[in-house]
Amino acid sequence: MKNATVEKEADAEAIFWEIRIDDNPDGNLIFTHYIRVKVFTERGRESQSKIDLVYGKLYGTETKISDIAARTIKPDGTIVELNKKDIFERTVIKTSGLKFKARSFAMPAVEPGRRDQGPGLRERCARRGAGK
Amino acid sequence: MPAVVLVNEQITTIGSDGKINEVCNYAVRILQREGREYAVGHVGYNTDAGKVKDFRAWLIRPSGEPKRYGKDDAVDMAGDLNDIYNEFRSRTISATNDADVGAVFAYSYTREDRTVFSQDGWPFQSSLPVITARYSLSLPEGWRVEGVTFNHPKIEPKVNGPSYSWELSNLPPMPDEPMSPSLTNLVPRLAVSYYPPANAPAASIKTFSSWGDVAAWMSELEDPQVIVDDAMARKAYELTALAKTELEKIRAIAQYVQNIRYISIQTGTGRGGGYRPHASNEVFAKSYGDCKDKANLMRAMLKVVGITAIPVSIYAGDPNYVRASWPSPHQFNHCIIAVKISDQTQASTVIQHPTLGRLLIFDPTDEETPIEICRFIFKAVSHSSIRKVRMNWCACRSLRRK
Repeated sequence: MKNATVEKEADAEAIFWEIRIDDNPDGNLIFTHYIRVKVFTERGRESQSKIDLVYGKLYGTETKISDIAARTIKPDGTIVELNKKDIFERTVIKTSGLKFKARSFAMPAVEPGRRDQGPGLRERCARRGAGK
Repeated sequence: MPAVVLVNEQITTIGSDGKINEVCNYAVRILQREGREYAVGHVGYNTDAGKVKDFRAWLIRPSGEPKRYGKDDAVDMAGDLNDIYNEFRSRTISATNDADVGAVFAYSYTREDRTVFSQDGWPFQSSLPVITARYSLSLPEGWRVEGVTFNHPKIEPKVNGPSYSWELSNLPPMPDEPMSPSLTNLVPRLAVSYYPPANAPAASIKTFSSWGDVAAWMSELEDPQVIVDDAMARKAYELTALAKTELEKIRAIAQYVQNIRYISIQTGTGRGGGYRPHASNEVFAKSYGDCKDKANLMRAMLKVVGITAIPVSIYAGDPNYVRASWPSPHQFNHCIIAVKISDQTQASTVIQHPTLGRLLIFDPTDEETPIEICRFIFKAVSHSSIRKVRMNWCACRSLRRK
């Protein structure tokens, strides 16, 4: 697969995106995202390799995030997993009644390649829960 | 003139354990509608070593009616949203929507800092005119201080026991002009370095009395981070397998490092973390890093193929920013690399250093510029600021020692 399917000129394309919704009895609504992105160009590499998963508290509604996992599949098929210690939690903004945090990470081992070679696939998965 | 600063004051007290307590008092009068944007108070802090103890603001309307702003009005934000992680944060109180022409906006904060550094820089003004600007420093008994003034004749402090105070009054505005020097090269600035006595409990804080001290300290941080493993060595040999000359080897490795993604993760900054690169084998495995990580990785890969290189600390964006009279790592904001080369290598980016010999200057963070060109920095080197860039080579201590 050397080019995007939906838009031929795209720098990257989500080739699989699954969201499972669990409206569980204890009152939490849980979204589990699984995304697999194919990167075709250097620009795609730049735009897709830094991930910020934002969550927090907005006037009484609180979202949380857990179970983050990610990996890079290199063009030669080698798989490099994201190390948990490379996931950073930070408070993006905090003010009265509002607190947004983010779990941020960079996809590992996306090696520089020739410009006509796609740097590979990224997969990431996270659970995001929202209180009712 | 949109606004005038009535008071700009910082009072810094150093504890005998090196703990820093800073109080800032600032007041500005809005003179024109455009000046409402100056009715904003900021305090920056570093979560690794500092905290804001108190931050409040006031607006006195033209009628004399006051309005108070406190904790609930403050917005606390990450200092750099593009970084994966950065300990620097800022807290802001804005009164721009409340301020009218004639109003006075004032703010005050208290900040505590436990940084290992014993230096501070302070501008007496920004672009606005200032009626009174004052920097006060109180030191424990037996400590000494040295102050340097930039863009202004030397200001002698008023000394009262262990307290020092540098003050300027009636500073004119610095209106923005096309192609003008940056404000940091126009407005009066103060830089102070303070030193505990040798037997003080805070003797472990970092002091820099010469560029040699700065170089030695930066080398302590940088040199151990050059770690070569088998995978990296294989890659370095693979990249240079077809290279016939020294320059081709350097070019092959430079292009590889240029294409590593720029990702910034800043931790331990209050203890010098902002100057310590991540280990080169980690950066190689993850394929990302910031400027110092890239320079360090390139240094390690060049080492594999027998070429010596050294990190060079610079201030990017303004070749006149760094001043020789203040030996301090705080004057730098970027890291590039100098590659020691033989006479066979010819390029426009090669310079002759008086003690280090022929060096090829390269910025691995610049993703587009080839090894033969150093887009903005080398321009600075080859013109008026060559003296300053040479001075930056305090980071070359390891080579000077050899």
